[in-house]
Amino acid sequence: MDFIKDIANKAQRILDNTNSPKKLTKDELLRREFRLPDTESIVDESLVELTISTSYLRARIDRLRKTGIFVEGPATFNGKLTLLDNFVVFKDSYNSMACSFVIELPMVQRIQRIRRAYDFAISLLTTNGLEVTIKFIGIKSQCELFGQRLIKLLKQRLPEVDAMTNFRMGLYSEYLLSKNGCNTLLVKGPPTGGLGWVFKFPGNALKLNDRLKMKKWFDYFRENGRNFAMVHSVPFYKLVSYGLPNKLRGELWETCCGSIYLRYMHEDEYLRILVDHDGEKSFAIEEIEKDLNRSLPEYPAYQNPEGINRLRRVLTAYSWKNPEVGYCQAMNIVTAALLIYMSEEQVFWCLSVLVDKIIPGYYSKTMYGVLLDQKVFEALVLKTLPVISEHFAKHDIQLSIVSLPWFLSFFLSTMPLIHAFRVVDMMLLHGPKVLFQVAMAVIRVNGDELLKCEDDGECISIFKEYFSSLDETEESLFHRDRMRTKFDNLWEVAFREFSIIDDKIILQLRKKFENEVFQGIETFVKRAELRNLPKTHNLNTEQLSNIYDRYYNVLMGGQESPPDRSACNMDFVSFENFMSQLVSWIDAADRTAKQTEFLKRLYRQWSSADGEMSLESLVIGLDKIIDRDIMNSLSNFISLYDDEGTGRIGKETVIQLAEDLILITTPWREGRIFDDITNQNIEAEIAKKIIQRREVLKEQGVDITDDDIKLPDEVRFNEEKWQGRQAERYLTSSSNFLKMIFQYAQPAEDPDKPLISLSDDEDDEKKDKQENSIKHNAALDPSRPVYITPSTFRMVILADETYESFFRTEFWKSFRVNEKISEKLGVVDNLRGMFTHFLADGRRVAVQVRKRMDEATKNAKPISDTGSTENRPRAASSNTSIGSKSTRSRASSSLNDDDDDDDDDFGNFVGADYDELNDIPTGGNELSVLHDAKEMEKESELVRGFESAKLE
Amino acid sequence: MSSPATNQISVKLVLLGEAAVGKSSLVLRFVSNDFEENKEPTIGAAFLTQRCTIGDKYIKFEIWDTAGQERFANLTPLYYRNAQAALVVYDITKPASFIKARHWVKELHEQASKNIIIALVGNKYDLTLDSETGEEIEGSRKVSLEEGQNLAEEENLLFFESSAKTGYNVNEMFTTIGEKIPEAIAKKDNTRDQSGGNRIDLNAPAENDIHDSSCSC
Ligand SMILES: Nc1nc2c(ncn2[C@@H]2O[C@H](COP(=O)(O)OP(=O)(O)OP(=O)(O)O)[C@@H](O)[C@H]2O)c(=O)[nH]1
Ligand SMILES: [Mg+2]
Repeated sequence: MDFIKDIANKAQRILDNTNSPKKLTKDELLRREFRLPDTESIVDESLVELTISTSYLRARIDRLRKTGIFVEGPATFNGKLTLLDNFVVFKDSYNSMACSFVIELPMVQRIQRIRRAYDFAISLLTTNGLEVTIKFIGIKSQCELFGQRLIKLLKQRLPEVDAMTNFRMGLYSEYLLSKNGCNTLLVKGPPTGGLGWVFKFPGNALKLNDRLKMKKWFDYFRENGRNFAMVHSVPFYKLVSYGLPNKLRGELWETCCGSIYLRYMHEDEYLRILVDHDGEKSFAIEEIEKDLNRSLPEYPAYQNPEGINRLRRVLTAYSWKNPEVGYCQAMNIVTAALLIYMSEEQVFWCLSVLVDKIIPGYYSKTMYGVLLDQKVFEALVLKTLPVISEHFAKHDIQLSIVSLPWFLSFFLSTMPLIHAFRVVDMMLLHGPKVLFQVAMAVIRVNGDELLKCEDDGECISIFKEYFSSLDETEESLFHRDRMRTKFDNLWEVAFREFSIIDDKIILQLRKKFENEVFQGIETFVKRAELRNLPKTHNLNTEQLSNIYDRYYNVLMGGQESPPDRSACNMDFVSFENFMSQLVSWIDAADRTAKQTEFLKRLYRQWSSADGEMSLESLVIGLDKIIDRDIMNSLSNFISLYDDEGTGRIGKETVIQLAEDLILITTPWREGRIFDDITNQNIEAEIAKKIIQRREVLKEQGVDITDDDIKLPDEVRFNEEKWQGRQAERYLTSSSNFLKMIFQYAQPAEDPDKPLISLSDDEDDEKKDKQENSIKHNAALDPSRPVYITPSTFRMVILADETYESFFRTEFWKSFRVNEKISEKLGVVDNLRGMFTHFLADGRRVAVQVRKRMDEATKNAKPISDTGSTENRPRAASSNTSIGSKSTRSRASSSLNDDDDDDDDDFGNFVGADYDELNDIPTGGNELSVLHDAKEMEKESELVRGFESAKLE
Repeated sequence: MSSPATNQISVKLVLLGEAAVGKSSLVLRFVSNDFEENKEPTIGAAFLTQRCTIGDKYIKFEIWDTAGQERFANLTPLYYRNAQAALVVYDITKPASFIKARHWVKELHEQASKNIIIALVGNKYDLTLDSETGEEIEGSRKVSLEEGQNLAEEENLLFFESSAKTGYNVNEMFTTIGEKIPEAIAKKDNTRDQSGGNRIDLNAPAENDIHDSSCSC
């Protein structure tokens, strides 16, 4: 059910995005831009003009100048300097690639104010030799404030300087510089890093130009700083694009993606997680174990316990850190690959940044992220390579099933490792757009071949072939006269031709397809979950689907924040919520103690042995309670009260039961909904009126045959009266129930329990009644303990006309399992609602009326008094309820205005042309005179509007 | 890249089943008659083809080998779309994998094409046998033969127990499926090619075109 949580989170995200186009905050944007930890927030910012220099840079310039070459001094950059809790960052406003830097505050060794007349300027010196001269642009007092804040933070961070120095001792860049005498920091031995140090790095170092690359980085580090205080300028991006040298790769990865800051800030978290969860089991761990031997098995370290153990520890620790993701296949390959260049702890943090920030949702329980990106990818192909896209469409080739593995493992399971690592280099620096750029390039360079293929299979073969031949040389795509490897061509296409694909386009397209992808997943998950539900007898597939929707709607809607691990079960509050949506006798707004009492009983009885209410247990419970067979329904209902399962229900519980009956019949008792009996009575009245009309017409000499029946277009009646009658019936039934049930109760052997009093919030009248009945019932004597059996209950209910009818029809119908979640929720079945309902069902009512009328005519006997129903067949249940606004005040066209209230509790029904008695239909289908239901509804709407206007 | 044979039937076959039950290994055995002790998990899905002659039919299997982990499940509809045959694989030493298999069968019956031929496959049979004596190791088997057979019967599936490691029953399951593929389906598949050159001729000599197949079935 983790799927659902995933979806819940996702849904929340979609809601957040669409309902309120929530822009990222300024802090978030900045953190994203500079790959800073989530805990950072902006303290101050200012526009500045700055130059950056190091002694090495100056020395180089001097050297060059001495040889007569003119070189400019350090360049000046204009941009925004931002101070955060632990960092000071800068980016050039005109060309972000030209200069940007991130300096973690403890790296600042010295700060000095530069005395100037008109503006505020400072110089910073970092521990690793960067000299930054900053001239602030803006109001001087504000600039000074920035300076003060910076100084204050620097002072606060002073105690951290040693920790940071220690940390840096473990970085390869520091070792490299130290070894070559260019470091103030003395690092004795090379830091222990990835498995590559022991088991060799993949690929041929010579062929990869590893030494040269190393030298280039060495130079870069000297002049531009490194790790915690480092400037990114054009050469930096170039060097990353060339491919990182083996021994620096790990450190540069974590510097590029910012995971180094996390590792520094949470120094022992990785080990602590491992220690804290030592020996614990989890589903994720089971899955991890299955794959440990199946991760880059060709790399020697993974044929060795050392490598396997590192892999196990990192994957396990991550699964504990991020249980929402846990473990997803492909993570084993990614982690195994990272571990070649990075220590366990480095990988742990790098993986965190990757999974949480760079490719969110890729490895989630539904994998929506990667599915979404396949849609985005297909859209990009359509946009930029329409010919190929059309070809795929024509041959029903689904690119996404081919490209999915590329994205999921960053080509690590697709390309030879040495090439895939270069994709990883770029991706950790530039983010997810790199995956799209490379994938687009793959399509582009194979375009001709792809246009020849006719199905998915051929398409896959082309790629397989291509990826295995990346080292082969071919003509350069950009310089026709040169030869180069296929990979180099790919690289150039990816980052030259497809440099147009930027984060913005990707974000836009993601947004566009988000709902579609999400819905697809949801459908699948729902199908799977519904399929795994136990067989139901009363609920059909569609109703189950409705319950499913409502169940998760309640679970999601109730919570703003992502639900926790076990939240896919329903707690009582959600259950209450769910029930209030499902049935009319639970009122969401007014949660009385009684209501809660009954719901608690349902919750207790329905939830599984461990007290959890899952979808499954809910469905089983509902399936029972809505049984349409009255005997089953009663048995199921009474079993809710058989707490001990003995078939004997004690006195206290019986009283509770009686109260619950009052609760669940509330809408009928209050006359909000008419029950079957009332409906039948109303119908009988309609029939009676129609017959009376016919008599009048006949007396007037109008010749009408039995076929000429004019049905009313509109029914008006005294709603209150019917409500009152019904209410009275329910009250009588409830008090009778108590009387009867104890009359037939069996004496119990066990010692008596005190009789509880009825709850106070019962309205007085009823309370009196019940108390009376209790007093008068000998069985209720506290000195005589009794119990009832399920059969007593059934007998008593069946003996009561109202309660019987209730359980036969109203009760199961009151569970609105047919209502879709998309339909408006919580519409109480009030009379207005029912009125429309009646009109919509006008034809059916008409048929029934006609039947009765026929009957009455045949027997030539008026229909009996409406107050009683005894002599009416009870079996014919009507699915229709009718009602109307009381129309007593409307005097206009009704003939029966002067009717006595007492004999006419039915009121009037008014035909459109009722007054014109000579307007008699001339045969044909009697039903055809009924107006079209819609029209009638409109009409009644008008009448209602008119009335309410009048009342005011 | 395009299919060289003119008289062949293409059969799209998909493998489904829990992670690590040996789907990819079965395919590897069938396609390359090989076995790898530590096969990498399949990411998304893998595609392989194998041609072979079965009786008088010349069949090209287009095999989609899917990833088994639960969360990949919602990608699988992409792969069993239009599939004519499916192998639902479980590991006879892992009861949970059998439950998963049951779900897959249901899913296929509901969602896949109507005439799909499904084979239920209990893999890793070799693990239940003592390699020395060839006798069954007590308690090693966690899903009985009968359980498998019953499910197959209930759901109208072909049924095999197999071992990708030893090759036991591997070719057999593909052969049986090949035999079962009705002409009608195969024909329908080939109507894609309107040129008319892609007719099935079951009488065509089989040795015409077996250059890349060592399939012995
Ligand atoms: N003893 C034995 N081991 C097997 C057999 N088949 C597969 N294996 C092993 O089981 C492991 C998983 O096999 P795979 O073929 O990768 O399983 P899969 O079903 O494709 O797994 P996913 O791709 O993760 O869904 C590998 O280590 C195989 O060597 C078999 O018949 N007998
Ligand atoms: Mg596999």
